[in-house]
Amino acid sequence: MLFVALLFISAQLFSQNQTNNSSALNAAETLLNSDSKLSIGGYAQIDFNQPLSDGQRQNATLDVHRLVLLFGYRFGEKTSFVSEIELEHVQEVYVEQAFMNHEFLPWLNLRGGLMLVPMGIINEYHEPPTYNGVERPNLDSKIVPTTWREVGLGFTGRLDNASLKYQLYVMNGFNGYDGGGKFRGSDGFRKGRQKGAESFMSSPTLAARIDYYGLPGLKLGLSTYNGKSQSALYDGLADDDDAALAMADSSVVGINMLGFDARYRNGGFEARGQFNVANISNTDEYNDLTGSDLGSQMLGWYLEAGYNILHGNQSGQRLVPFVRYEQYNTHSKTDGNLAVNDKYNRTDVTVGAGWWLTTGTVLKADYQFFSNANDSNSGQFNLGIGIWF
Amino acid sequence: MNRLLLLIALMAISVSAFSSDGFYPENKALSQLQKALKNKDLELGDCIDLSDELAEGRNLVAYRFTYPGEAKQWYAVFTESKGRYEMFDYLVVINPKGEIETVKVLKYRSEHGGEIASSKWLSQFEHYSGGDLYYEEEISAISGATISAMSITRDIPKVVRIIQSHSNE
Repeated sequence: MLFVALLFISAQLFSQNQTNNSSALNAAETLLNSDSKLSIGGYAQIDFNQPLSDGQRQNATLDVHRLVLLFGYRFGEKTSFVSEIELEHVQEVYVEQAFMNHEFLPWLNLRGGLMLVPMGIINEYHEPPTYNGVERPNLDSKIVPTTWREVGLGFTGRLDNASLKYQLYVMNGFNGYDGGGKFRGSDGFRKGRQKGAESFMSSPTLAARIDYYGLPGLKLGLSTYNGKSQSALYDGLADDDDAALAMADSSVVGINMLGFDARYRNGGFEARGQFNVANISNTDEYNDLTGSDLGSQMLGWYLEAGYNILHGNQSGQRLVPFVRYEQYNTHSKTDGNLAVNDKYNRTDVTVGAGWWLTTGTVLKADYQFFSNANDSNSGQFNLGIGIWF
Repeated sequence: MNRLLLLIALMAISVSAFSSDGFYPENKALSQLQKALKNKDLELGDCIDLSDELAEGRNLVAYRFTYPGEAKQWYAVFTESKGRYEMFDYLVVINPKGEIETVKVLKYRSEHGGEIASSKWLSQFEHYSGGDLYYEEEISAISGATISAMSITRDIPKVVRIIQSHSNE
């Protein structure tokens, strides 16, 4: 009887080894295959920038511009948490993303936390090996203030049969006023990003995006962002204090931003483009209150094309010369007495190349020609290392 | 003592039976296959675990099946590939000629890259039966899902080769 029992146990253990493949895996493989697991990743951008202008010497800068560490945890098949801790310029620590996602169905996920605002290409796909050029397009700095993230809650999902993905979030807005104006003519909302750091809210905003990828090699995106900026002047305001309420109302602007973008790849050819327009209301009152020079419309676009001259080579490497043309004007329109500042009507041309050693490692070199409608011209030579793992 | 060992043996059987649920057990596999082929009358035949043939620590289980009233053997292959951070599961249906009939992504876990579940994009694999298959050549690029798209494009020819050699045995 004892012999039979031992034989049975052995047979069971043997057959389990035969049928359950996970028993033959190492620790890392078991971690990868388990239902509950930790993901670790990150990206880095290390830059050399040499500004060049006539008749003036300028030092170059060398900067570990961004080092971002990702930690993701999957609690099961449906629920996960994603966080990204960013070290910017080595010394500044930020949380770039920290959100939970719960999948009810592939087309219906609840997502909440510190999330990227889904506007344009770069704000969501900003890891250096995903784009050409050492620096991000300037449109994605001056009009879409990447990396733009705020605390919010909403839904996202995929419709696989229609090749569509959507995102719809209620989010906190920009800090437009907290004792002084944050917005300005040169770079719009950039200084108003709250980034989830003890952020305050006087009214929520709505961000939405749809991606369509049903045509070979092509991806199209449409983004909107609507709402008011936030103001500290509403905090503690008495309901019947009309003068204070009027002042608080002057400290916010209404923002209606629209974006359209496209990415295309066919063989070795690749191209992308983006258009953004932001209509801003109440700028006259805002500028009067804060002494700022915020325009009432910001508008910009860029087109970029490149060719992978190693296309067809199965080494996994890519060598992509590219050119990018950008026009962006943060004073496309102004309101009230504010005169249009031609310095803010800018045109950049970037010419360079990227050499992808692997999909996650790229060496970049480019030259940027900067000009504006005020006849000012300058340039910058850039070298960069981009990592994503 | 004998009773104790018998009890342990019974417990071992129970644990083994519980853990052998594994990757796409029959009930789950059948419902996914019926949904993918929009045919409620399909029934699965025997299950073959071919994970060892991939030799990469990834799961690969195949079920033989037939259409009602037909004798020709089809294969429903349940396997997985790796996105940037997480595995995703998919079904490859291989017809009696050894060609891919359809591919469906069953579970995509990562926050980015789910675009590869697009039916339109996956239809590029239909009728593949062997030979070169390269991302950005035979298979078009899909922005935002590069790693997953490269991964499934690399892995599908292996799946087809394994099933073809198995069906020829």
